[in-house]
Amino acid sequence: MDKKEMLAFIKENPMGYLGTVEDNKARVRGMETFRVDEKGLIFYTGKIKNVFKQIAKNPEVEVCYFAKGTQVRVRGKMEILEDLALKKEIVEKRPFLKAVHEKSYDSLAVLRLKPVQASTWSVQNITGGTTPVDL
Amino acid sequence: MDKKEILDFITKNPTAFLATVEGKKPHVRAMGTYKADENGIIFAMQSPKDVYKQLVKNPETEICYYANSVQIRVSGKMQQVTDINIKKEITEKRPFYKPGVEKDGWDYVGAFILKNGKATVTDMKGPPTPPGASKIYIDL
Repeated sequence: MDKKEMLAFIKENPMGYLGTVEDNKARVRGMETFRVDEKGLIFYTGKIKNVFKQIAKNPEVEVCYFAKGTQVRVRGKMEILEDLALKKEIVEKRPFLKAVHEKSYDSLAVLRLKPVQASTWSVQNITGGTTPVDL
Repeated sequence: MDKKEILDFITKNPTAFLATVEGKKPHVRAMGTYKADENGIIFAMQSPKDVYKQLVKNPETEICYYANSVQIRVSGKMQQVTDINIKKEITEKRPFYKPGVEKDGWDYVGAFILKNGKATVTDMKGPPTPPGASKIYIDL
């Protein structure tokens, strides 16, 4: 897969498993990728959440996408975006966020992953290694 | 969910997203769970893989399972499995390990068990968790 195909794969399968570090321990949870484009991958969460605190302290992350036997892993640093227009758009499109965040967009965190490296792997080639691609 | 229900869920939905730490960076990949029962959760991998090296160096891990809108996360410390019988059983079930075993011996089969993990369950079908609510941990 080249960069373009990877981004298309993520767009089609937006559920990412986001790995972070907390006190030298690994953490991982499912997280929706809100947007995928040339500038990076956009995620959202609450600032009160542990995942946000972990990223604020150590922005290094890896996200794993897996669908139909194909895996795409993306590595890089998360950037915290304070973009009110984007926050409003996210709350508009994800109405379950309204109750908590509509009155205070400050409590909503928007994160952008600028990928530096990605790799793909497929069960169809189970003994094959991963193929790293610089993004 | 109680311990038994969590182990059943993992057995039925064995694709785990396994996170490790390398230096200050996290890594995460999909991996099949080899076995989940009262004794712990077992993972098998080829020892030349990065994930094996990362776990030897830093055994603190978290794994995430997701199916039917339910997410289960289990955190804890991995322990190496050295039992040759388990390694033989793994190789029987994963024949593509055989060439490596023939070349490097049983050390080629890397196996870890996560004992006494702490699990948290999130059911996305239910109402969202109130912000700041503390997590409920279930001892496995």
